[in-house]
Amino acid sequence: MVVNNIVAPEDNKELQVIIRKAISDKEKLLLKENLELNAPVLDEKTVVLDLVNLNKIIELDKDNFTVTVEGGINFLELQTLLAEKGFYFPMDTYASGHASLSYNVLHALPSYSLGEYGNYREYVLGIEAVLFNGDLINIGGKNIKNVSGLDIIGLMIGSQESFGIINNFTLRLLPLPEEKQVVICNFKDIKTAQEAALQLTNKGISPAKLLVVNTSGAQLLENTKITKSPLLIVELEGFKASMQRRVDMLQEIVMPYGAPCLIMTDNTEIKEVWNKFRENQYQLLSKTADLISFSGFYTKLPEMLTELDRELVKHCPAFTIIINSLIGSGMIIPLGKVGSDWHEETSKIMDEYQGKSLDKKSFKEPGMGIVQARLKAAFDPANISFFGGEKV
Amino acid sequence: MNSKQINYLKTIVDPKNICTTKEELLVYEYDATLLKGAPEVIVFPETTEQVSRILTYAFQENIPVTTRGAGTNLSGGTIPDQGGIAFVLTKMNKVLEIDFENRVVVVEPGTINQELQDMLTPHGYYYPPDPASMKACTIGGNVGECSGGPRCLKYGVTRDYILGMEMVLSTGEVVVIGSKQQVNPDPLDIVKFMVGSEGTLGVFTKLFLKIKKVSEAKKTMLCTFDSVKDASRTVANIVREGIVPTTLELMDNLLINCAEDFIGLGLDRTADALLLIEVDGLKEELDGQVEVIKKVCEKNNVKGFKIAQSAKEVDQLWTARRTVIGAVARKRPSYSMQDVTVPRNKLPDIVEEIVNISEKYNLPIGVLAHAGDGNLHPLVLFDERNKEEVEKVHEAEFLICKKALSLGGTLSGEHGIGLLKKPFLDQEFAPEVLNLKRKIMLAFDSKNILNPDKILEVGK
Ligand SMILES: Cc1cc2nc3c(=O)[nH]c(=O)nc-3n(C[C@H](O)[C@H](O)[C@H](O)COP(=O)(O)OP(=O)(O)OC[C@H]3O[C@@H](n4cnc5c(N)ncnc54)[C@H](O)[C@@H]3O)c2cc1C
Repeated sequence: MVVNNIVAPEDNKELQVIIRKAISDKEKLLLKENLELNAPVLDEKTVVLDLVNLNKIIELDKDNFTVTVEGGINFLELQTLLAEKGFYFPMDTYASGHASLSYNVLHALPSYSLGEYGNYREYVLGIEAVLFNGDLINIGGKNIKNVSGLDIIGLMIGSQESFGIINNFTLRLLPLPEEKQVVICNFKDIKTAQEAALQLTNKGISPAKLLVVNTSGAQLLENTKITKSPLLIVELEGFKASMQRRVDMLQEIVMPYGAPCLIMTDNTEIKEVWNKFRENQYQLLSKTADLISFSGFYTKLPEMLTELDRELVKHCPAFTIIINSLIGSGMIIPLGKVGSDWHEETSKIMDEYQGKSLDKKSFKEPGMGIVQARLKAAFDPANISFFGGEKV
Repeated sequence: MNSKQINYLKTIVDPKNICTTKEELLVYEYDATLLKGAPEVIVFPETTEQVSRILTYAFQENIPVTTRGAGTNLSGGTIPDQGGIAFVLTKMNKVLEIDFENRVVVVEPGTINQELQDMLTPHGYYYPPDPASMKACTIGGNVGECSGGPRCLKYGVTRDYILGMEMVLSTGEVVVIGSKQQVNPDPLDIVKFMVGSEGTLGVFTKLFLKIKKVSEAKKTMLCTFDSVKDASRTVANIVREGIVPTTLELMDNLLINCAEDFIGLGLDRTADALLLIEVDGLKEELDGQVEVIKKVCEKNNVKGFKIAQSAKEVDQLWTARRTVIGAVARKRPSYSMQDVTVPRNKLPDIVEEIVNISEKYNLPIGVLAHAGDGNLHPLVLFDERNKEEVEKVHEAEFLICKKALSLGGTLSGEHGIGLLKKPFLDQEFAPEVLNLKRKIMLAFDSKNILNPDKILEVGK
């Protein structure tokens, strides 16, 4: 694809100038990360925003546990820098190594730690943003709680670039956990892996990450010590004093399933495992347009996943399933060309188990359609957002 | 409203759920602030369909609708200052579904927070938002304000526990947003945006809540200090040590004495400040955290450090904390409470300013704070009948808000803006932000009939 019009603003003023120009010239605008992840079809008038120059850490406030940072900073780089100083920003997504903080937040990309560590809104305390009406706004600050009249920050998170671009964030940080361990267990099928995951969430072990993957998903780890079968991947973190008991509790749960476990205690090894997992997932995602994101009820997931894993083979010989079992949400990534019934079959199975496809808009209700159109007009009166308020 | 309009409402709800006598209207002029404004009719809907039909009619007739739960809000958020309908949701108070395995509860908005907790506790679960008013306030009101509570430092606020809702828009249309599952199907999170909307964007008729398992163990500490500054410095230092307690509450000397007068626990009446600190988790984790907290307290000249030894003792400490706002009524006939929030390390500065303001205006001001969140509730005590004193209260509160903003704070951490803080809003936000908020409100409620002109002046 030829992309002519990539612009990389140096600061917020320049970003504002670009957006104002797009308004007056009726150009469409989107973030550069979309080129890899969403394969949009662009015309020569589309402006592609690259936030690469907006990558400075402005202030690390050690007293208040906040960091103020420009939105173009690479997500993973930010986490690494913070960890070196003893701070923790627990959001971690498949695009961490590739996408800017702004992209991750504006698209509310699913963090592996969603569930234990809440969602982006709990960590984004303040923003500076250039809206698609051309205004540069500043909202929030370093306050953990803020209900000063309508939550615009919350509305911007996940707005998928339909309202404006956040160019500056103040983030809430946590203390870096004393200790981390990763336990990876081999299960005979995805059903039992998911059953074990559900039991774990009820045990008070509070895993930071709790993923289940199908056999094909096991390859994302590229780890020779791990047998390829459906896996339960558990990251435990917290105080040293309770770590051994957490691991014991976990083993007690998986033992009846006869699932052998590999325990990783070395931080470098753990980092390596996640780097591989993230990177491989990202690569798979950048190659497909047929991704299915879904959520389900904890209690129905074991059966639903079993059926998905069994039936979808008929429509695509290989696909990876990854579930964040803390929130009962996951994705199915086809590894090749899918048959014409791929989406239909998935919907049928999900309906049977009251699962939900996550690309449906809540705005399908008639009343909300009007609300959405008015909301969009408030932020983007000239309709310069490439996505036009619709899903990619 | 004319009699034809009121009679029409009687065709929608049972006439016994409509009140129009002067005495009845008087009761709904108030909320937990000192502001007043009379409704023209009080309506208690019992079903979503009734809510929808009433809003359809109100929209058609341009009748203001002030939605109300228990009316315990502290921002004038349920004062029907433009007349119209006081829309009281307390009869829609059923817990419709508790699904422990999927960790979701479905309630009607009039459900009392404590009543829900009482249903969950025996099963080892809880709903984390726990405002001190939980015995009276409704979940609908909690969502309306995005209420917090003592344990929200670690567990977050109401926004973090709302998975979805059924809501009725100003036009009467019923929509369901979010779901009973743990993730919102739509990345654009309108569900969360509704939380804290103060009755201005829609009327919630069902709420899908996330519940949590109770932690295995907890430890509660009571620490007293000879100076509020030492206590507030302790707060910032504890978090700096890598500990996130569930609770970090602060009370100053005036409030310690009020609490002590009220329930007589044997609190140290001479202490300038008290911190109530709680940590939870697996039992092995707690002693280490308590040890670190103790050391931090000692570094900051703690006077007394006590760990509650029994569940009864823990309960008593919590009763003291939860009842202290009511207990101040013994000191002066009226109180007014702000809700400013500052970055945690600015607590000593704001507390110092509050003390100065109290001296300058000769007004007793008690300081109560969810200190871990930097969220302060300065309680100004006065006599409402003394007009001169009331004037001084307004000035003092304006200065407190101004100082909080100058420290990088915000007007409201958990009580909302309502009518009370509306005059200060332009001190916190630039005109373009206020304008945007106005447009958003009109996007939901084009005729501005829902809690009209609360938070900010919207106009038609
Ligand atoms: C003694 C005392 C202690 C308190 N402690 C705390 C505390 O610790 N933390 C805290 O955050 N607050 C606290 N509060 C404030 C208050 O209790 C909370 O704001 C509470 O959530 C209000 O609930 P309510 O049912 O009384 O709602 P109301 O006061 O009736 O309404 C609050 C807001 O919600 C809107 N609303 C109500 N129901 C609906 C609905 N169904 N649909 C749409 N909008 C609706 C109303 O229009 C209004 O704007 C305290 C108040 C008192 C008096």
